[in-house]
Amino acid sequence: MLMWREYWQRWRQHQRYRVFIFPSRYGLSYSVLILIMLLGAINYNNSLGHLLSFLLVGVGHVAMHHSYRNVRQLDYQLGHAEPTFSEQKILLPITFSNQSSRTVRQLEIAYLPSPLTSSWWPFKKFSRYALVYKASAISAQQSCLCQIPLPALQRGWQDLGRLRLSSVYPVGLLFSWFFIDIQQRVMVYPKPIGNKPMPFPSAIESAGVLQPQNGMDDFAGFHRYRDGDAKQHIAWKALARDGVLRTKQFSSPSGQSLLFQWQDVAELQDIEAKLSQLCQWILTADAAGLLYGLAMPNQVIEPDSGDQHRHECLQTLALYGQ
Amino acid sequence: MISIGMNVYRHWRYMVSKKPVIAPSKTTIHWLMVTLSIIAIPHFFYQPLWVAAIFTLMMGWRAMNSWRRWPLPVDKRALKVLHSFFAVLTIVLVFYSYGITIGRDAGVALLTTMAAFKVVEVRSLRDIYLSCFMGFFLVITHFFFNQSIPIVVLMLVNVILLICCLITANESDSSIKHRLKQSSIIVLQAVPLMLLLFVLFPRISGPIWGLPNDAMDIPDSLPDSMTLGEVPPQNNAITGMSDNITIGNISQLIQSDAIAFRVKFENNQFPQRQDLYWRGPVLWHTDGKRWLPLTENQKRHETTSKIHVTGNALSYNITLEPHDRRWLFALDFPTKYPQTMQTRLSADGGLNSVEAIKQRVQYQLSSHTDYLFNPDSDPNLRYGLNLPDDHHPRSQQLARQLLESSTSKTAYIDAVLDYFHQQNFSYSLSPPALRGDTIDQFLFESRQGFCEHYAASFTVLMRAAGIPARIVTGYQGGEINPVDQILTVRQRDAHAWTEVWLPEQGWIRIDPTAAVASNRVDFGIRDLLPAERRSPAAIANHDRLVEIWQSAKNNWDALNSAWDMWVVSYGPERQLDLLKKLGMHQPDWQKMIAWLAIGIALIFVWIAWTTLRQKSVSKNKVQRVYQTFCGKLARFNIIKRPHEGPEDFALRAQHALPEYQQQIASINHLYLHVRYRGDTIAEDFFQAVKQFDPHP
Repeated sequence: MLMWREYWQRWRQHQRYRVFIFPSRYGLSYSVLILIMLLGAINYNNSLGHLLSFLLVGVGHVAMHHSYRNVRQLDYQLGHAEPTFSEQKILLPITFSNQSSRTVRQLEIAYLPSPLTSSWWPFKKFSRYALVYKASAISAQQSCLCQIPLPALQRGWQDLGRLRLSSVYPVGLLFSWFFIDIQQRVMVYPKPIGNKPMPFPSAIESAGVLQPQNGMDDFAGFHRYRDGDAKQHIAWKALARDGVLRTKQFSSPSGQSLLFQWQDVAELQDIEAKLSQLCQWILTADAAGLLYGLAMPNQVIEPDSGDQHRHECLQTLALYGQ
Repeated sequence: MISIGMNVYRHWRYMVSKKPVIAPSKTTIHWLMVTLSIIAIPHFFYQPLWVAAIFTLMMGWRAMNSWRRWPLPVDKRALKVLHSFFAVLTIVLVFYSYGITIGRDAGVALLTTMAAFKVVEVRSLRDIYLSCFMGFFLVITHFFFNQSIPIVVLMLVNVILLICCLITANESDSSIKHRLKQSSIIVLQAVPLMLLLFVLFPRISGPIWGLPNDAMDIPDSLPDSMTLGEVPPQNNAITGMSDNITIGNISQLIQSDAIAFRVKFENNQFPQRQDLYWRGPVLWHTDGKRWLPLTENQKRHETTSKIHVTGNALSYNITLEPHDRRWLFALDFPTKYPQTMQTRLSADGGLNSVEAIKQRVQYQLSSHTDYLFNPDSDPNLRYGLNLPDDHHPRSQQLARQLLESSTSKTAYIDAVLDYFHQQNFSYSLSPPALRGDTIDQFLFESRQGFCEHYAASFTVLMRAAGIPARIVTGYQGGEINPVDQILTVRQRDAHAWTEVWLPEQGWIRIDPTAAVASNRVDFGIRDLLPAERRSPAAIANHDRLVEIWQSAKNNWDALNSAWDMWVVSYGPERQLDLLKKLGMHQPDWQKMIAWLAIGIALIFVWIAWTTLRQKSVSKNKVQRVYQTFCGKLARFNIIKRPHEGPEDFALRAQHALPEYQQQIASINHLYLHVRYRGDTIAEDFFQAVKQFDPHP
C-alpha cells in the first residue's frame, strides 16, 4: 500500500510538465510501410509476412515508450537571462537534472520567440520552432547547466516565449516533447553600431581640456568582461593566469564628462541608426571608464559611470519611443 | 516600423531555414551497408548472378568512398552518369531475365539492386531512413522463398540490425555495444505484441488482388498424365506431376525430398505398410506414348460409383502442400470426404477439390483399405480397353501367347506378373531412354525401369487381353516420425500402379512394380535410394552416428511439421480452430478485436512499467560488493568482527592503514548512503570499491 502511494507521489512530482508524443515524418512513413507489408502478406497469404508486420508494429509501440521515457525523466530549473544587444544572443541559463538511473540522450531545444498569427493549420506554429540548442547526453543522476542562446530581436522588452524540449531518440520514429514556458521578459538594447566620432567632452572647466584618450591612461582596476567591452581593454595576461575574462578599467580625470545628445546624431535619418550610434558611444565611453551622460528628447541622464548607470542609459535607448 | 518588421522577419526566416542537411556519420553508413548485405545475401541464391554482381559493385563503391575517399555520384557529373547507367542496365537486365511483367522474382531483383543503388547516394538522414525501409521490405521478401524456422531467426537478427541502424543514425557517438543492446531490447520487448497480434489479429484469406504467376513456389508435384519414352527435361525448376506423366517426371520427383503431404492418423492407428497407397489422378487414355486422365465430362458419374467396404475405417488428417492442381490425395480408398472444403469424388475414384490448391490445406478423411469398387459395372469400362491402333505389336503378341496358356483372367494376370518376375526385369531409378514404340522397347529390350514403366506396360498387356485396366498415380509409403507420430509423404514416394476390373470383384489394385522390386512396397523408396541420400556421406559408414543423426533429424522434422501447421499455415480457419481450442466460444472478429484490445492494454501497461520503472540495484549486489571491500582489507588482517558495524569497522581500518584513510572513509560513506539511504548511485560505490587496491 505504501509502495503505491510512493509511486503515486513520484508520479505527481513528475507532473510538472506534460509530455506529448507524436510520430515524426519518418514514423508516419514507417506506419505506411507496415500497412503495405501487411496488405502484401494478406494478399500472398503469407503467415510469416504477417509476423514481420506485427513485429514492426511492436517495435513502433516499444519505441514510443522509450522515446517518452527519454524526455520524461528530466527536470529543469530556469535561471534569469541577462540584458543583451539586439540581434545578439540572449543566454538563458537552464539547469537540467536527470533524476533517473538512465542516461537521457539527444535532446533538442527549439524556440519560438513570439506567438505568430494563428493559422488554420494546427502544426503551422509547431514548424516555426527553430533549433537553438542540442544536448547529446545527460548521464543518470546528473545535472547540467545549459546556456540556451535565444535570438534577441528588436530593442525593448522582449517576452521570452516558449522553449520546446524534444527528442526523437532512440529510433527517430517518434517525436516527444514538452514545453517550457519561460515567463520572463528580458531587456534588449539597441544594436551597437555606428562610425561617427565621439563628441568632445563637454568642458565644464575650460582650462585643461583633455582628450578622452588621455583619460584612458589611468588604470583604475578590473571588472568582469561584459558584452560590448572593447577588445583592446581585455586583460589577456590575467586571462592566461586564471582563465577569467576581465576588462581593464581606466578612470578619467575628474570633472571630465561626456554628454551624448540627440542632436549629436541628427545627421542620421533613421531612428534606429541614431539609437545604435548612441549605444555605440555609451559602450566606448563605458569601456574607457569615462563619465558620460545621455540627453534624449524626452529624458536626460546626468553623467556618471558604473554598471547601473550604463544599464540605465542603454535601457533608455532601448525603450525610446515605445 | 515596417522596416523593423521586415528585419525581424528576415532574421527569423534565416533562423528557420537554417536547417542544414546533416550528412550521416560514417558509422551509420557502415552499419547500413553491413545490414543490407546480410539481408540481401539469401536472395543471391535464387537470383541470377548479375543481381549479386551489381549489388557488390555498388556496395564496393560506397566502401571505397569511406576507405579511400573515392568520389561518389554526387561529387562528379561523370560519375552521376555512370550511376544512372548502371540503374538503366539493371532495368534492362530485369526485362531480359524475367520478361515484361514484373512478378515476384523480378520485383525482388529490382528491390535488391535498388537498395544498393540508394546506398551509393546516401547523403542525408532521409536517405538513411529510406534505405532502412527498403531493408524491411527485403526482409519480408525472404518469406516468398522460404518459411522455415531459421529464416525467422534471421528475420529477428535483421530487424535488430536495422533498428540499430536507425539508432545509429540518431546517435552515432555511443558505443556499438550500447546501440546493439538498445535495439535488441526494443525488438525483444516488441515480441509479446507481435505474438498477440499474430494470434488474434482477424485473418483475412487472400488474395485481395491478383497474384503474379510466380507468386508460389511449387517445387514438385505429381503430373496428371504421362508420356512414356520422353527424355526428362533437365534443370527445370518446377517439375513434377503435370498434365501428363512423362516417364522422366516421376523419376525426377524421386530426386526430390520435398514434402508432398503429412498425415496424422487418429489414435495413431497406422495401416499396414503395403496398404499405404495414396491415391491421386487416374490415367486412362493413351496414344501409345502419352497417358491422360478422363475428360471432365467422363469423370462425372458419381451416382454410379458403388463401394462396398469391410473392416474398420481409418480416420486421418492430411496437411497437403500447395501444388496448384485440384486433386487431393487419400488413402486407397476414401469413404468419408472432407467437411472443411468442397470436394468431389470422380467416377474413377479420384478425390478432387473444387478449387486449385494454392496454399497449404488440411482435411479430415476416412478410408477403408479393404473395399470393392464398382463390382457390378462401371460406366467407363470401355475406355479401360482402348489401345491405339497399330501400336505395340510385340506386346499384343505376348498378350495373346500368355492368354492362350491361361485358364482365366486371374490366371492371365498372374502369368503377366510372373513374366515380369521371371524375365530379367530390374528396378532402376535411371533407366535408359526409350525410343520408337516405348512399350515394346521396354518389354523386350531395355527391361530397366521403375513404377511408371511397369504400370504402363502392364496396363497395355491387360488391355490387349481384354481386361479393363487403368493407371493410378499417387504416392506409396511415407515415413512415420517416432517423435510426433506423423507420417510424412515426400515427393520421392511418388508411385504409379495399375487397377484392373474383373466382374464381381470390381477394380483391383495390382502393383506390377512389386513383382520386380518387392522392397519398393514393403520398405518404401528409402531403401532403394543411395546411402548418401539417407544420411550425409561423411557419416554414412558409422552406424552409431547415422542413428544419432536420424534421431536428431526426426526431432527437427517434428518441430518443422508443427511449425508448418501452426505458424506457416496459420490462416483464417486455423485461427478459429486455435481460438476454439483456447476456450473462446464461437470466435468471430468482434471477439477477437475485443480480446486484442485487452491484450494490447496489458502489454502497454507492462512496457510502460518496465521502461519507467527506476532501475533499483539489488541490495544483494551492494552487499556482495561490500564483502569484496572487506575481503580486500582482510589481506591486511583487518577483519570485520560480527558485532562491529560498518562505521566502527571503517574507523579501525583507517587507523590500521593511514595511507588509505581517505579512500576507506569515502567508500564507507558511499556504502552507508547506498545501503541505508538509497540516495546515492550504487555505481559510484561499485566503482570506488573496484578502484580500491591497497598495497602494504
